[in-house]
Amino acid sequence: MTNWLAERGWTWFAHQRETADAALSGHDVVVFAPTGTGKTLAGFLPSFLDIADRNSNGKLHTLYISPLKALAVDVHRNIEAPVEELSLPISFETRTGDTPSSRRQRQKNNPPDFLMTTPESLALLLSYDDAPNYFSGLRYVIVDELHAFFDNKRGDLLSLGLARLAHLAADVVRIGLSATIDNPEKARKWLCKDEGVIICVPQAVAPQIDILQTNKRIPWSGHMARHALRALYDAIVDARMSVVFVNTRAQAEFIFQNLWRLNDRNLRIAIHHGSLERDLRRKVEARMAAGGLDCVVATSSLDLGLDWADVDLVIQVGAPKGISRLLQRVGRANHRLDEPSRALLVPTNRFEYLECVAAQAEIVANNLDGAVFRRGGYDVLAQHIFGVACSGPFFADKLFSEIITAAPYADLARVEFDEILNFVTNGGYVLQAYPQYKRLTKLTNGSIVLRDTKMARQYRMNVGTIVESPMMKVKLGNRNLGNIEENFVVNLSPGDTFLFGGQVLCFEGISNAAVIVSRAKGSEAQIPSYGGGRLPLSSNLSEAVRRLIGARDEWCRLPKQISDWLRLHDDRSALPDEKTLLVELFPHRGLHHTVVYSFAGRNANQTLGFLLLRRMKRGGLKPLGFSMTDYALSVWSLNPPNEIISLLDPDIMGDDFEEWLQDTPLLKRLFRDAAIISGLVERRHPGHVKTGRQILFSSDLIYDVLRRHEPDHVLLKAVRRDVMHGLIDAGRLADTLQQLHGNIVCRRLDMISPMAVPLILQITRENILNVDEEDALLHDLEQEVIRAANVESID
Amino acid sequence: MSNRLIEFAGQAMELHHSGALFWHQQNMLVVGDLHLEKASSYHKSGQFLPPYDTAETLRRLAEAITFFTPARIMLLGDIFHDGEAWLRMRVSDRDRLLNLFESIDTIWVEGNHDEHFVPPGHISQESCELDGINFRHIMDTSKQTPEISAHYHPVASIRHRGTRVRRACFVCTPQRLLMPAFGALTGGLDVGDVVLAPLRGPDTQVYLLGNDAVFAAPPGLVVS
Repeated sequence: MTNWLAERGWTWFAHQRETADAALSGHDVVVFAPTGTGKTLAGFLPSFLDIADRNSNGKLHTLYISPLKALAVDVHRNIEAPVEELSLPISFETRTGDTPSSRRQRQKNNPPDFLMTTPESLALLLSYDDAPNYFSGLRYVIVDELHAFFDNKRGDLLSLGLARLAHLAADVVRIGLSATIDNPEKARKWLCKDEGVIICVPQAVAPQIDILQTNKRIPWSGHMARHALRALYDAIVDARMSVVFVNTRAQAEFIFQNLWRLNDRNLRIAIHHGSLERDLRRKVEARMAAGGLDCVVATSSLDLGLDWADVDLVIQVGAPKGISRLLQRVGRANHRLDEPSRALLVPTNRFEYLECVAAQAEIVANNLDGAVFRRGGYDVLAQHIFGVACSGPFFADKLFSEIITAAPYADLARVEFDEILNFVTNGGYVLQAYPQYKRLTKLTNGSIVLRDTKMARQYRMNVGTIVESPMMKVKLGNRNLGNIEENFVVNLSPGDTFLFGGQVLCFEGISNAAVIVSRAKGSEAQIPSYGGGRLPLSSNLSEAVRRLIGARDEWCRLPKQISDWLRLHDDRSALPDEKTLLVELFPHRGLHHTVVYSFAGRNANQTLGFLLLRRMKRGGLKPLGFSMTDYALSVWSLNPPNEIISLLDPDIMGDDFEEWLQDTPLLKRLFRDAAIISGLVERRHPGHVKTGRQILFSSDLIYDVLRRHEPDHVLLKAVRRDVMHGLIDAGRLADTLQQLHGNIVCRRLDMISPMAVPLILQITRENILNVDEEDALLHDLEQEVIRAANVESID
Repeated sequence: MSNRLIEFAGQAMELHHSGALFWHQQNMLVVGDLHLEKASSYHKSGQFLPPYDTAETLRRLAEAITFFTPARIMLLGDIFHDGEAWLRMRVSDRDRLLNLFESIDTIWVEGNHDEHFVPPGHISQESCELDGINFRHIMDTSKQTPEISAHYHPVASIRHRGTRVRRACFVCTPQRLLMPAFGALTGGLDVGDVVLAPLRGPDTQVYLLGNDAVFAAPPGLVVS
């Protein structure tokens, strides 16, 4: 193998040797390395060496797991070359949700030496009764993009799957391949059985990250980078091949369309986002790999792993939101170790400009975001227990001790486990109904089995933790253009135009559960503010932004218009630096605005907004609504608040939070996911919605009934565990309020302050209401119609 | 509490936010699609929905009966989710149901779900005509007499101030009145769906069920 490398003028990297040494002597290993350092080969090397020694024995030898199907396929391609040219006696195959069932069957009966797969496919393989035999020869498990698993339910599922594997094949060596993170020790604990080895590969050359300069005015708010399009196009012209990363689908569509308008050089520019039909996406990826494109405008659908060495420039439109994520994106460019990766940041508004400058500094200082390690979800555990039951009889005691070896469940109490086991058995309701229909039964020897083996089908149809928001097919004539979020469609009226797949489409209506569109005549589309999929600003980066705001001597790094903006704000109000929780009160158009510069990220700010609405309502301030960004939140009311300190007391996370949580529609969304993941309701597979029939039931109704009749049910507890992160982000909000409560600076102003402008300009189109607020809206509508009717009759 | 008084086929009808209809002249309450024991019907296939929907639906029915104190109740089909629902019901729920009807005349119209099951001591009929209004479970578009039916679980969405609200609803044309489903765990069919096309027209009015009121939706704002 060394010869093979030498023929290509390559030698082993130290970390590749170290990985091989550790793994071959039986240690688990985690390799932390930037992209393009031969990390994947490092992971496979021990397997290659091991199998060359002992030859294939017709059993699965190495399992490669990645978070992306596409990555599994891509790595398959990448190791094909060394395996063939070295004529290593290795068979290897890919297995994902897209693999045809005939091939899956063959893989089951006649396993390859190496299998490239995903956490979901691993869970499926483990659920068959021949799993013990299938995995009995397994020696290595390679987990790629390990950092992508710590903070989500897929990670929970993978971790449980690994615990199961350890039970089936005791001396499997685990090798994790991770991007560089701030806390390698925690990652080691997450992956490794006991004594794992950490191998860190430093960045050879720091990436070169610039901010796109334009002579145009940088907008106060908005996310579309309209001001920067010409400069953006020029940068693409100068690069050999570029990827333009954006944060939302709407941005992708807008930028793609406008780049083509400017495209007088006839560059080959393509678009890639998760809503496009899979075939279209694969086509773009293939053209890109073949060097047949000059530029791709993409969302995070193109984010993970894929190695495109030909890309020499990564452009990030919109703020990076996190240091680690930015570094991983930048790492896509220029996979040559001795040359820096080149990236260009394109801030779309003034706050984002600050964020980009702060990110530059953090990268130089190598301050990575703190990786978040979540506690395992109850719903994922329920799914796993069901899967274990599908594979054969088990003992509760043994399964419990196996489960707590999975890091996310290390602190799971036995009573919690029993409660979830009970849920899997019969739904776990206080009111016992239909003992004859239990899913699991206990045999006389104490082992637990599936009552009816046909139920394994139910498990296999519903495996996985990714619950997509309901999607609808977009049809132009007979052509399928892709899928679009149902939440977006409900806000369209016939005749509305929107961008999709790089075309301006006209919404005609809905038929057979599909969105019917035609080509729009004009080239201007009304672009919806669709906020889905946006990640909140990381705590690390938000602190860096506040530090920058507070450090006046650093402002020389900012364009004059930005530093002028800060200075003006300082004159009129105060600076929300890292030590201050700035609150502003000012009247605007007859309403009183209360602006809180929390910098807690959009999810936590949204939660705070709801909580303040409640408090202010109770205090007789008559609040009417709020808007938020990652940085701040504005609540408007008919009466001005007298006192701010108590309004923002951290005890808002106590009773107020509990009460709010009881009836927020956000909780229903979390419940919908938990209900599907835990197996309470079955997954609706896209495209299978029948027309002309009522939908069977909705998880919202189940939630309402359950809350009224059994508020302590384990699935409601599962949802409560989930609120600490993600959509509700209670943990971060509590931390922010706690930290800053003694440092509240309140400014009463006569008029809107410079930094508050984006909040006031922002129109929140997508309001989230609870039932009472919805009723108020219906009432309001009726009154409006009545008034209109009176006017007409007088006329 | 604000109910909605409408005129249908020359009669005063009161729409209740629970999804019940009250016919003043007949002193009669009309409800359809209770789908009692719907959740438990899924247990057989190993899907354990919360077994509380029957109790919840009966609670709402009791509320409507207390409010209107009708002499009669018209049960417009699919009162039980399937032919065995009665057997699955808890004894206390069965007693509760029968107690509710103790001093009320009942008229049971057959549904498609419950296989014509009625509780012991009751009888059902395919359809029923009262004072020129035909009551049946599934609408019959071949007939032109005024008709009140159920079955489709209509829901409608309206858009106002940038927000969409989706609720179960009554759909009312000069000829026909379509009842919302009364059950606690019943899904819905959008009024924009093709099978409800016969109900569309310039005089069609949609009434959405609020928390404690019924709202008239302006036809132009109903979105599908």
